[in-house]
Amino acid sequence: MHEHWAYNSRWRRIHPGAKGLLTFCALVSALVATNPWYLVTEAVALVILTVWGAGIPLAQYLRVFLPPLGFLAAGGAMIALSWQGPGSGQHFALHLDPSQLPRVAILVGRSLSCLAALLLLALTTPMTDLISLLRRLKVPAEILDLMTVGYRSLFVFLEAIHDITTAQAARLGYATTRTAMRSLGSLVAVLAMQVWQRSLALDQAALARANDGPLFFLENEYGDSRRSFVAAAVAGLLLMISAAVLRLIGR
Amino acid sequence: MTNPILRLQDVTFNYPDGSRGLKRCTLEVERGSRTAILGGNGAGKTTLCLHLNGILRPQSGQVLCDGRPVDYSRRGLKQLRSRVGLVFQNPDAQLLSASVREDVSFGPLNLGLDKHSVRDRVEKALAAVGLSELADKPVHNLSFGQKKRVCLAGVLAMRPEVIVLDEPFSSLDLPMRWDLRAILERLSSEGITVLICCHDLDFAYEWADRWHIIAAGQLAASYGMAEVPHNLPRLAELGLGAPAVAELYQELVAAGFLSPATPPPRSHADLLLRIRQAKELLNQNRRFRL
Repeated sequence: MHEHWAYNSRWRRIHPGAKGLLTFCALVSALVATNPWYLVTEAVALVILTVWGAGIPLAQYLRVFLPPLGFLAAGGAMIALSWQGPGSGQHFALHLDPSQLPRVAILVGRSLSCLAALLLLALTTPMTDLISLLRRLKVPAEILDLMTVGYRSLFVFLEAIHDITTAQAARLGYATTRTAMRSLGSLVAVLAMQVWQRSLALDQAALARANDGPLFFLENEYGDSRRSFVAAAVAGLLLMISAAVLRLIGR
Repeated sequence: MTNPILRLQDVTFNYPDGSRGLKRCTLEVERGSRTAILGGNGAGKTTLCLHLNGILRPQSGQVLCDGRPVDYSRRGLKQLRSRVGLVFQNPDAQLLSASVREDVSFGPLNLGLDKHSVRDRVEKALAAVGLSELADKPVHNLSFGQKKRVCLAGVLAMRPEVIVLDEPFSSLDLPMRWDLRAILERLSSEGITVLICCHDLDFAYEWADRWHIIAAGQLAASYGMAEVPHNLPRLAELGLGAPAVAELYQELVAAGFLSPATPPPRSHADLLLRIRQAKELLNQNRRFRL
């Protein structure tokens, strides 16, 4: 789903470097800021930018945004609540610790802000563009090759899993718990074989096209990337300066 | 054969698990020709393809390109692979990138071309297979036939002199087959040597100039198309069956409906035309007698 929106967002043709720059600045700003209201405002601004700016439907956005909030709520609760075990005639007790509330507010605000910043990049930039950006940033070729082949193989194996489970289900492979366990086992075994065979086949395919080293691909061209970079830099600087100023004046 | 661009001379290859690939296989592929490699499953067709592109190296015998033995050094292999392109049977085993345009650019970039030339070649290759509009789509959202065309574009972008296609029609629906046939016609008309491994005798009979039939890793027979109708029993013996058009033609000649002097038709449309011509002639003779 996230993949689909990355390919169809209005910002698909904006240079991934510009989107990466804005994301980086937003992350730095979130890490620098200590004011929870500022952090929540930054998160909301980034959500608005992604939903209305890049054209990601709000419902789809929330489907990606909400699950991490569960972890965030659990983490915040663990800090804000203190726990007292049984002893000296007392039972279990759970107390709200008011002194921890500012800490929780900063943690929640910062996490929301970082999440919104990362989703801005992830929901508007296909993985191939991100890999191309990482290549420009001189990430080692071995890591990028693994990312490229891993990402491509993900879809091939999802299809293989779908085909195998369908074939198993057609022969009552998941009719009972016992047969389901057996089918699952054979699915894992078949997939392990397929991974090995596919890796050999991909190696041959790369060799057949005169490859004898790292995998190189043509980078996409983006319209008026200078303008995108300037806009990203201005917005990013604004975020970072606001966070730094608020921190310096102690708010 | 006068001008072979590729030649296998007594090539033997066995896989590490002991299974046979090729056994003293000798054959030639003429420059600019359309060659069909036929044979049953496990006959050694894919092994043969992998030898032509230098992926596999003969354990004995040799592969010659343009009359010279293939140089298996890094540089020699790069040169061979820039001249002989290979399209694999399963597109998911060939496509390395998740982006169509990126994947097509992979081969030309490996040849060390500058980005401007690569971009130009990629656009032309995508246009040649009719995929320009899908260039920015992710590979995993394409149909099986479209993926096959991306594979072909990836090889075309390297501008090889020879294109080897392993089972290009398998799992393709009829419109996709027609599209691929049209692309193959265009490649041949541009002087590219095309070599196809397949099981479809009717297609091979209509399309090819020459058949090489592989059985048990060896060249069992090699026929020009004019020779095929006269060798139907041998084809049956090799377990291949016979092209339907050639079989019908033989029956019509035996029944006296077509003259043995009639050139053997290669396609269903050709055969229908010959039958209509024969009917016309028969009607004319009847009118003349009356």
